[in-house]
Amino acid sequence: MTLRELSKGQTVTILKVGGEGALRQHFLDMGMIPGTQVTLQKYAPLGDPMELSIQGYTLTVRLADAEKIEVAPSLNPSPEEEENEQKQRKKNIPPRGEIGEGLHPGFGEEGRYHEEDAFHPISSAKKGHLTFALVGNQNCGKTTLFNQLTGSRQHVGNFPGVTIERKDGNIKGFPEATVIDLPGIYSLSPYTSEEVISRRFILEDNPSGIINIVDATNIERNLYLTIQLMELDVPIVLALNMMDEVRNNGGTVHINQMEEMLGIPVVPISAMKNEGVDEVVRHAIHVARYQEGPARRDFCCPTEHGGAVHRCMHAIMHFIEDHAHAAHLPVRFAASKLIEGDQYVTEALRLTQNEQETIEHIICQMEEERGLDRRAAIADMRFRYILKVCRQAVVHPEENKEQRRSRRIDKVLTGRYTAIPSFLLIMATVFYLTFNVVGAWLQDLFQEGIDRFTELTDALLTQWNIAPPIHSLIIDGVYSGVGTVLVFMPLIVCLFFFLSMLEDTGYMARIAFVMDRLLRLLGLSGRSIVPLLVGLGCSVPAVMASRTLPSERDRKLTVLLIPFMSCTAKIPIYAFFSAAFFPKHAAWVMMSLYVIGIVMGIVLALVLKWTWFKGEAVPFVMELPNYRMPVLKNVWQLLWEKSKGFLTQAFTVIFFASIIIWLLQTFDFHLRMVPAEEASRSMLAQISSLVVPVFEPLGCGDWRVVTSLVSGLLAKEVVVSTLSTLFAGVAITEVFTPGVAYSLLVFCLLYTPCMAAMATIRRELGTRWMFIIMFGQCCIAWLVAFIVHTIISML
Amino acid sequence: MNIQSIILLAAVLAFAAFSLYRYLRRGGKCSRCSGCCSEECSGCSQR
Repeated sequence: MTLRELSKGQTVTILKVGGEGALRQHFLDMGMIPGTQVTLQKYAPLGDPMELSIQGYTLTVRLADAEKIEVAPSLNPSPEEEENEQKQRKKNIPPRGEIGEGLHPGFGEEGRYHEEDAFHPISSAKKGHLTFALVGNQNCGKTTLFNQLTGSRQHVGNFPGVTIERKDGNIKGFPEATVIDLPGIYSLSPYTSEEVISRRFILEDNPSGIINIVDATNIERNLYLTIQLMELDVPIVLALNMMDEVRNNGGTVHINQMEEMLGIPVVPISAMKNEGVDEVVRHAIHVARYQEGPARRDFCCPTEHGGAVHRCMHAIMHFIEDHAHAAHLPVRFAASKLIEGDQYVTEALRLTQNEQETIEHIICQMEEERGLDRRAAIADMRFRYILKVCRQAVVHPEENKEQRRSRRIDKVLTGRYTAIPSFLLIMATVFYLTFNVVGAWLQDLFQEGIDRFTELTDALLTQWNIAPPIHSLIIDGVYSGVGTVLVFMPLIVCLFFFLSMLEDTGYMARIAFVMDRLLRLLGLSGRSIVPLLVGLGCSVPAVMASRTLPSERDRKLTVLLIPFMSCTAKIPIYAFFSAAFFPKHAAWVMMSLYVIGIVMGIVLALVLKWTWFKGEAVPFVMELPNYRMPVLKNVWQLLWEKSKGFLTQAFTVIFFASIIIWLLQTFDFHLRMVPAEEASRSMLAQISSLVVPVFEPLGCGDWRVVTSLVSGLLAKEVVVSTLSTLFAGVAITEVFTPGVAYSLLVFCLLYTPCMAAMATIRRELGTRWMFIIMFGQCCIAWLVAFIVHTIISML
Repeated sequence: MNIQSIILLAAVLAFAAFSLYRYLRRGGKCSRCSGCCSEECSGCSQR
C-alpha cells in the first residue's frame, strides 16, 4: 500500500520512502521516515496534491510523489496511554509568566557547555568581530527575530520562503556583532537554491556562532536541523520561538531538561513580542566569545537496533579523522554526510579508492543490520534522539487553537467545491478594491495633485519668462513623463497591500496548493500562480513576486509568462480604441483581449515546456502554515519600502528617459525645435518612420501609430497620450478600419512590456533575459496581430 | 535664452545626470545594501 491510496482521515505508518536523490532526502529531512505516523487531511479540490499531517505539522505532497512512499495501517498507542504520558509530563509545568522572566541555569558564563579539558578557552574571537548565522526552518520567524535583533525592517510573511537571500545587520547594542539572516532550511542537505546559500555560508564562512531559531509549536521537525547544526561543533544558542503560543494552548517546554539533553543554551522567546530576545543575545555573545561548542555531538545510541548505526558512524569517524581535519570539516558532520552520500563532503574529503571502498562496506553492513537504507537510517537516528528529548522535555498542548482554527477556515478555502469559487471571489475583491475603489480613489487624488502642481509650475515658468524649449522640457518632458508613471503608484502600493495581507494570513500558500494541478500542465508548480495573478495588475510587482519560487527554471518560465497577463496600464489603450471603433461592443473587445493574452501565455508555456524548459516543475512539497492575523507594523513597513522603491525608480530611469523622449519628440536632426503641426519632422518621427514598413502588413503603416507604440515602451499609458497629440484634429476612425484597430490592440496587448517592467526583469533575471523578453514579445505580438489581421481581412 | 532659463536647464540636466549615475553606479552593492543595480550584489549576493 502506498501513501497515494489513503482515504481522507486515515492514519498510517510509513514503511519505506522510495524515490531517489535530493527529493527523497528532502522527504526524510521533513520527517517522512519509516515508522512515522502520517494522516491524510484532504486532497486539493482538483484531486492533487494531498495535504498530510506529519510530526505535528501540515505538509503538501503530489500524488506522483506520494506513490513512492510505502505505508501500512497504523498501530497507534491507546488513547489512555497517551493521556497518562501527557499527564505525567504536565505535572512539572512551571507557573505561567512572561517568557524570559527569571534565570535558568543555562547561562554560558557558568561554563556549562565547555569541554572539561579546555575550560574557558578564550579564543581570538573574544576581541575580534563576531558573526552569527541566524538559522532555522522556513516560516519559523527568523526574519522577525532578525528585525528585533538588528532594529531593521526586512519583510516578513506567513509563507514559506519569504527570505530568498542572506541579509546582514549589527545586533543592537553590540556593534562588534553581526547577525546574518539566512534563507530557511530544513536540513544541511540542501534541496532548493536558497538552502544552498545557507549551507554554504555555515560551512565556508565559519561564523563565530549560530543562533538557531526553532518553532516551538512544531518542535520535533525543527530540532532535526538543530541536531545537524550541533554536529558542526560551532557555538550555538537555541531560541525557542512562539513559546507564547505553546503556553496559551496549555503546553510547555522544560527548558532546563532540554538544555541538559542537548548540551546547548536554550532560550524560550516570542520574536514577535520581543520577549526573551535580550537573553538570546547575551547567550550568543558569550558562547561565541568563549567558543563554547555544544556539549553533545553524538546522537547515535549503542543499544538501539544492536547499535548498527552507532558502530558504523564511529568506525567511519575514526577512519576519516585526518581527511576531515585536512578539509576543515567537523569529523562527526563529515561522517554523517558521507553516509548520506553528500557529494560536496565526499569530494572535500579526498578519500582514496581503498578508503571509499572500505567505507562503502561499513555502510552496507549497517544497512543490513539496521534494515533501512543509509539515508533513512541516519534520519531515523536523528529523529529517535529528538523523540527522546521531546518525551522528556516537551508537553504538547492538548489542543492547538491555531491549527484548529486553520482547519475550520480550510474547510471553506480549500474545500472540494468551495476552494475555486472562494479563490475567484477573493481575487475579484482584491482587484475590485485596488482598481475600482481604494486604488482608483487614491489615483484620482494623485492625478489631481500632479495636475495642480503642473499648472502651478506652468504658471511660474511663464511668469519667470522661461525660454519655450526649457518650458516645454519641464512640462511636456519631465512632468508629463514622470507624472504619468507616478499616477500609478497608488495602484501598485494598494495591490501590494492586499497581496501582503494574503501572504501574511497564510492564504497565499493555500492558493498554491489549490492551483498546483492546473499549473503543472503548463510545466509550472502551484507557487507560480501568485506572480501570474499580480501580472494582471502590474508586471513590476509580478516579476518581483516570482522570487519566492523555489527553482530557477520555474522562476524564469513564470517571468516569461507575466507579460501575457494584460496589465492595467493597457486599459486606457483598450478604452481609447473601443470607444472609437467598437462603442457598442467595448466590453466584449476588452474581454477578448484578456482571453487572447491568457491563451497565448498558455501556448507559449506549452511550447517552452517541450523545448527550452524541458522537464517537470519542482515537486510541490510545501508546508502549509497556520492562518495568522497580519501584523500591522509589518504591512506598513512593506508598503513604505514599495513606495520608496517606486519613487526611486520614477525619479531615476523614468526621469532620464522622459527627457530623452521629449528631446527626440521636440527637435529634428538639426536640433531645431519642431512645431506641433510639423511633428513628422521630429527625430522620433523620423526614427519611427524607419519601422513603418514592419507595420504595413498589419494594416497600420502610419508613422503616428508607430511613434505612439515606440513611446509606449516608456509606459503603456503614453501610447494614448501620444496618439491624442499626433492625431489632434483628425478622426482616428478615418485613418483605420475596425479590423486594423483590433489587430493594433492585439499588438499592444502582447508587445514588449514597459521600461519599468524591463528594468525589473533585468534586475531579477539579468540582461540576457531582458533582451530575450524584449525581442521575443515584439515578435510574438507582430505574429499574432498579423494572424488576427489576416483572419479579419478574409471575413 | 535668459539667465533663469539657463539655470533651470542646468539644474534639470544635473539632476537627470546625477539620478542616472546613481542608478547605474555599480559599487558592487544593491539597493538593500547601499543603492545601485549591479548584476549580483557583493554585499548580499542578491541579483
